[in-house]
Amino acid sequence: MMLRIENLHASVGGTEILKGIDLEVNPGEVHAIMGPNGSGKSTLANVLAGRDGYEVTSGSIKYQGKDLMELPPEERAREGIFLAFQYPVEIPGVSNLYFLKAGMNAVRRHRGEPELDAMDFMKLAKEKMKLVDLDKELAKRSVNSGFSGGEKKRNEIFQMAMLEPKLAILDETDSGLDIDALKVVSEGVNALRSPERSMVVITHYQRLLDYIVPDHVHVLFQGKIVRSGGKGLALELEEKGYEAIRTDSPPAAAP
Amino acid sequence: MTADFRETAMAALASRPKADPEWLAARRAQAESEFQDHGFPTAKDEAWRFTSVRSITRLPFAPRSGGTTVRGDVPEGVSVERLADVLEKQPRLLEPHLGRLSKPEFFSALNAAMFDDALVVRIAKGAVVEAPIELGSDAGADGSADSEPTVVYQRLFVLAEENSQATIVERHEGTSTSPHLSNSVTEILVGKNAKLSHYLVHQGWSTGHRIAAVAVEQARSSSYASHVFTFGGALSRLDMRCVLAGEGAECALDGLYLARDGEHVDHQTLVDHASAHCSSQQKYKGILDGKGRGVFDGTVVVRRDAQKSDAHQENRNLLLSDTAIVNTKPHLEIDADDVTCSHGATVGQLDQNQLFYLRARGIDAAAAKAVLTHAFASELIERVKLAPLAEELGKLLRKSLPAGELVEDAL
Ligand SMILES: Nc1ncnc2c1ncn2[C@@H]1O[C@H](COP(=O)(O)OP(=O)(O)OP(=O)(O)O)[C@@H](O)[C@H]1O
Ligand SMILES: [Mg+2]
Repeated sequence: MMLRIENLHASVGGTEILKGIDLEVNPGEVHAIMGPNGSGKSTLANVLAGRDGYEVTSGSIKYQGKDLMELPPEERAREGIFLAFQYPVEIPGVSNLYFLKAGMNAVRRHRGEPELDAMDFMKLAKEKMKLVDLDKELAKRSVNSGFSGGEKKRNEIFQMAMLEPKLAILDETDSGLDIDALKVVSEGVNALRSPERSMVVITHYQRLLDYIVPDHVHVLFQGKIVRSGGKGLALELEEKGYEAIRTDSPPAAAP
Repeated sequence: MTADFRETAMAALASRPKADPEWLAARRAQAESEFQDHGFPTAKDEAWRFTSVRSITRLPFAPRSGGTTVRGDVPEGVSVERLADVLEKQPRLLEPHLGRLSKPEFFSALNAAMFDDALVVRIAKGAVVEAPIELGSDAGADGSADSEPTVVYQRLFVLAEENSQATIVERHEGTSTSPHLSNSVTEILVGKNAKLSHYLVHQGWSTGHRIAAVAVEQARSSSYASHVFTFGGALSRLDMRCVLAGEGAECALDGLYLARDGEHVDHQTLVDHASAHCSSQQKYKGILDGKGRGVFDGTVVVRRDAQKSDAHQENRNLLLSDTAIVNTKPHLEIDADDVTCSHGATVGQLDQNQLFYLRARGIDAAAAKAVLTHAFASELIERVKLAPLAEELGKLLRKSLPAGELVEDAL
């Protein structure tokens, strides 16, 4: 099992946002999470990545059999968890490539792999930039500084391609992308799909799931997963909206 | 009871050799009586409200030589001479300026009365000097904790003549274990249409005190750019005063200061728009850690006739601990009506979102903090026009920042 979340309750600033989430993700699987604004999707992503200020009040998260809650964010990253941010942060004065090299080498040290020297790193970076069609000049600038919305999202996927995580959580990586960029980014993501790598894809749009075809779709509503199903559920959502899905009972099993 | 600084200063004043030309002797006498009347500043003096000089005045600093000297070659078009030599050849050359630009007050009054080996830098009319003029002082590593506290009076006079272009790099450092004070006054005259860049790098240390004043006067269409880097010190105070005397003059004052645990760093700027069509830019940034304390007091004065003035001032401070303190007081006094002015001051902590972003990519918390602190400061290093100096400052910054070595490891 890659990830097992059981009865997860989490609060932000004293307000309970996640109200009992259960989710199991096997290696190689892609899970889509959909849900209206404010339902707690990013909160779940942040809890998984270990952001400060998100308090888990009950329940458990097991990642590869280990209790995740014990680990600070950097340890989680080194263990193979990657969060593609909904709103990637601008960091003026810190070079995008240098920062990524620092992160990668921290991950490699943790795995007992040799650190990459500047040349090997650049070679790899060039290859992966091509994968998501990220401008070389952009990669050299300060982290996300002055990047357009779409460029920031590409940069996230570029970083994911470099870091080769085991569990990638993509928080609305499609929002802010034009149709061509959506295709490029999805192809980039698909290229990273593998039997050892799991993905949790948060999105509002069924369209993304035409490109990144999920194994499972979950609907998050007011801090709970109210429906789970196959990729057809996304289509159903698009037609009927969240309100109907929530009140609908799941389709009865065929007699 | 052992003597304090006022006593040792008085004794030193009384026994000082007197061999100056008349005009200089008169100025010294005036400065001496100013010091006798007012002594050292106290918290009642507005400009010293946040900086106590007790750590200096309680010690019996004894004067010793060790002023600013030239390091390396003096580039063509530039002369660097000892004041005594200049006075011998041209006794009245500096009469109109020396001691006029810097107002003798408290420490600068004592400096004016006491300095002996002043340095005079002249950049010849029309000279375009590429290589930097390198100056510096080193308080040395001598002395033990219980040896006598020493004071050095440093005096520098810079005359950038009409249409000249040059760069001065000053480095001041020391590692002495006995208490040390450098009391420094620099006067700079930037002639018509001249351009002067001035780098002032001070590496403080735990027993090193520095009280420095830089007074600049700029003629028509001249430009002066100062880049101040103050890396700590028991007490480091810099008064930077720039008078835009001629029309169309411009100045850019940059500063980066760092105060770690137990250090106190104070920067005061005064930009005086005395003429029309002048512009001034100030960007000072501070990093305060541990129980470090920073003070920034920046004033922009725009006189009534200084129409079309353009003045901007910014002071940003980064607090790395709960116990660090900063007092920032930017202010504008504007008497003209057709002006563009802005000023702002901020005091903040490291951005939690940025920290998390770095950590989420595998960089540990301590390194992430160091990287972000370094990024905050690096803006001012990027504005350094001399590549080797920028590199040197980068290294110095990483050496001086808390956990700065992690930046090197991380990046
Ligand atoms: N730091 C915070 N303090 C207080 N409330 C917060 C904080 N962060 C998030 N919330 C609240 O938690 C709820 C869930 O937010 P979250 O960002 O997880 O929603 P989301 O499902 O990702 O929404 P969207 O689709 O708009 O991205 C919202 O009501 C939000 O206002
Ligand atoms: Mg969200």
